Amino acid sequence: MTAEGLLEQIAETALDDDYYVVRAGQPEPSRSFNTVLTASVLGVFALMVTIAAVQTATDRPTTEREQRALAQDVSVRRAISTDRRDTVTNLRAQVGDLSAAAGQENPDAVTLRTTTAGTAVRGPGVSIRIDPAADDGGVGDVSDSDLQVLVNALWFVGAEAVSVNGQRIGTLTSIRTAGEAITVNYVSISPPYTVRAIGDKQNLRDRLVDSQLGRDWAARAKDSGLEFEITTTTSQRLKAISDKRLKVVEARTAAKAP
Amino acid sequence: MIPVLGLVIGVTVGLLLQPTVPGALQPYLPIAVIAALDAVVGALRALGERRFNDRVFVVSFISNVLIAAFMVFLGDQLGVGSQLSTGVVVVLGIRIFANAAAIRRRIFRA
Repeated sequence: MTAEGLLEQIAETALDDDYYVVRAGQPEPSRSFNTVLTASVLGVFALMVTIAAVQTATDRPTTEREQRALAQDVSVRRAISTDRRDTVTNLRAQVGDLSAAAGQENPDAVTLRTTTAGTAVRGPGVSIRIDPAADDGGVGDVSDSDLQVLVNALWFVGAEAVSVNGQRIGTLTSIRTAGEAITVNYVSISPPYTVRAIGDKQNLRDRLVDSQLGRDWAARAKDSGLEFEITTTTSQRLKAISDKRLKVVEARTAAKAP
Repeated sequence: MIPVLGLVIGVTVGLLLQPTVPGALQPYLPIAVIAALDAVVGALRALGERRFNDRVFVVSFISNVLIAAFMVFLGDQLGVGSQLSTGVVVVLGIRIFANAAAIRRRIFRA
């Protein structure tokens, strides 16, 4: 059955078949239209129509109010979502800043760690080779105080990091004679001594050679035959000092028990 | 005219009492009204054709209303409530128009 057929059929059988079935044959005057039964059914019909109409009329303001409330809700939520989006953008920017900051160390801390020998450093500088000519305590010999003065002089002329025979000079480092040998960081070293310093290599070298100390060493080398040789290097690495020589450890007497 | 009196009484009662339909039944009222309207228009046409029968009218009225409400209920349960309501309204609307056209032809001969 086509759609048209369906619609036609509906239109053709619009009048309930019952009216034809029950009152088949010749039309007769309508029966019992003017009765209480018909009237009451019509009354029910009118009541239904009225109720539906009244209900729709009273519901309309409610519906409109609901709609307005919903629209308001939508705008409020939209504002909230905009707010949150802004917050997200802000936080994302903060996160970006923080992660960028986390990637690089505080320059002050880097400087401090370099100065205190807490970190290994690499860079240009000078390397001084000292080979004593004698061990008699004379001008040909090299004592602990010679090395102390030399290291201090290196600091003075601008070294950023200094090591003696691989022992990095830190804030707690001592250069001392112990028995036959010189100890640096309590590690015995033996000649020839190699003092390395990192800094502006040309400046370091020139200032050291020109200083009273440099001239003194040169004279001693000339007189006694000890070797004192300053060479510049473009890159050398000085390792960090051991942790033990970075920290000051204090012992405290325990409180006496009463 | 008792039937006209019934109509008037129905409208008056509805307006005066303004009874509220329970929320659960609200979706069915408009469809029931359309179905009832179909029965009433059919009755008017039958009246004009001298075939009116009060028993047929009462039965068709009640069954129309109940079936329409039931179809909407069923559609709601199946999740196609609005579609089924539309279908019921279309079919009843066509019937109402056809019956109204028959009445019109009888009265105006056009």
